[in-house]
Amino acid sequence: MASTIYRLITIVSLLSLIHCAYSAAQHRFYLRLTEQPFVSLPADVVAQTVISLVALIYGTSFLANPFQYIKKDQHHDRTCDEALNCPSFITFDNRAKAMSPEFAMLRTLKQQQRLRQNSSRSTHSGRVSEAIHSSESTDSQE
Amino acid sequence: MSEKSSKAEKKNDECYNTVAITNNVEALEFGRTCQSCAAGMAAGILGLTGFHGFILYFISVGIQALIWNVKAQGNWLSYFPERNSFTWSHGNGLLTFVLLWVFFYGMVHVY
Repeated sequence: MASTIYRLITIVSLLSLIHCAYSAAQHRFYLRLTEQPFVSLPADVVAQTVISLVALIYGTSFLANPFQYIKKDQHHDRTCDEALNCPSFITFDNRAKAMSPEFAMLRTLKQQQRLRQNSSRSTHSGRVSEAIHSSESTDSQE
Repeated sequence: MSEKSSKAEKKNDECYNTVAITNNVEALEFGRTCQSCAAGMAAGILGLTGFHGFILYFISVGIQALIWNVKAQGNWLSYFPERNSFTWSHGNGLLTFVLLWVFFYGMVHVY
C-alpha cells in the first residue's frame, strides 16, 4: 500500500520532469522563431522542475528497500538470567499460595459462604419435614 | 559493581548482521543513482553550465541525506555502522549526473 503511493509519486514526478524538458525546449524554439535572445527560463518551468526534482528524490529513496536493523541482538545489555527466562513454565497454582496473606482471607470468606449454604439447605429440609409431619398428623386425626 | 562492569564490556563487542548491512547499502546505492539521475535531468532542463550544475548536484545530495535521515527515523546508527549520510558513492553519482546533464542540455537547449 505504502509502496504504491511512492511508486505513484515517482512516476508523476518523472512525467512532470519530462514535461518540464518539453516546455523548456518549446520556449527555446519560440525564442528562436521570434529571434529574441535567451536570458532565462520562465519562472513556472523552473519551479515545476525544482519541485519535481525534490519529489523524485523523495519517491525513489522510499521506493528502495526498507532499512533493516544491523545489530544481531537488540538488547545486548541484558544478563543470562533475563535472556534464558522461560515464562511459559511458571505455574502460580501451587501449594505455596497458602502462604499468601490474601489466601487466609479468601478461605474465611469461602467458609462463611459454605456455612450459609448449609444453613439454608437445613432450613429448607426442615420445612419439608414439618410439612410431612403436619400431613401425617391430619391423616391420623381423620 | 562487577556485574555493571561486565555489562559495559558487553556493550563494546557488537556483532553486525551482514545481510542487513548489504540490504541497507543496496538501498543507499539505489537512492544515490536515482537522485543523481534526477539532479542531472533538472540541471539539463534548467540549462545550467559550469559550476552551477555541480552546486545543484550537491544541493540534491543534501536533500537526499535529509530524506535518508527521515527514512531511518533519526537513529542512523542502528542501520549503518558509520555516521555518514552525505558521503556515499559520489563517484558513481557524479558520473551518472554528468551523463544526464549533458544529454538533457543537448536535447533541450542545443537542438
